Amino acid sequence: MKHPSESISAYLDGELTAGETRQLMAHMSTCGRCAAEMEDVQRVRAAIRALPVLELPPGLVPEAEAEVIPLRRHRGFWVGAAAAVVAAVIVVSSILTPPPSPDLTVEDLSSRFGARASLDPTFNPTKIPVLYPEVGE
Amino acid sequence: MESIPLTWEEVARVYGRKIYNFAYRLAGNPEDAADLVQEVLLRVRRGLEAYQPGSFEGWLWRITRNAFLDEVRRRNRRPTAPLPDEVDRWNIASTAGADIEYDRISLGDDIQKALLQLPMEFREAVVMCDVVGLSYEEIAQATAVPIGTVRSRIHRGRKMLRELLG
Repeated sequence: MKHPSESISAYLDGELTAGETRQLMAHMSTCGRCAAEMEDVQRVRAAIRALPVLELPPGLVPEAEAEVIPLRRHRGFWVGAAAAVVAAVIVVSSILTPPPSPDLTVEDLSSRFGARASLDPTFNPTKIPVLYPEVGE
Repeated sequence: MESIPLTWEEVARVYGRKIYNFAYRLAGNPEDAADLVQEVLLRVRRGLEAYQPGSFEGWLWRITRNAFLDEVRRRNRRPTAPLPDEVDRWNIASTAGADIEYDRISLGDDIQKALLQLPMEFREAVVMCDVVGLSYEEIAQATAVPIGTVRSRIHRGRKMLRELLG
């Protein structure tokens, strides 16, 4: 007996013609093997369809909108951008503030700016807007 | 005539989540899924101008599927050492030499793990059908195979999952 096995999934998915459906049903009425297979496949199909729908990670699409910057936007980009912003803040701050006394060390400076960032709850280098060039469609 | 999204931003808004879910179920981790979404949207943006009215879904999912396979091939050229307990073997039977070992499986549920054990052509057919909700005809267009092949892959994929899930 030839078992129309592959018609089982197509039937469950509503992809059989009326004629194919009639043939499958006629076969199923006499074939316990195919009936059991349909039950198994139906269970698996339902389980896959019950997988949770995952939401897009925040910011994923806006990142893609900035496609004008060539190449793929790797996650490392934002780390680099944040580092660049922090570096810029440090440079500007160093210009606007009095020169340090000669006995200040690199560690002192690092500590000073690090403390400023940690003490100011509004200071967030990643929130500084990054502008992208206009792009035509 | 079929109504299609006019801009790639609309494609992103309407299909972004579907693409992400498709990618996640194929790759098994959020990082690769997010990368794929970005890559697909870039390709859509470049390709929309040349898009010829037809099956937009078929066109979009062909781009998505090709982007995914390109990434698989790219990694295959530069393989990384997988962790011993976290290896999934991507067996792309229709693409010579395109087996790949993936080094991350981040999702713990049984169905996801079983999906990742399916050969690629079965996995993508099942995911396109059961996760994305494409018709057999749309899957055939996206994967460039006859509908009969789609029908076979979906059924065999589900039967393999049944075996894997015990």
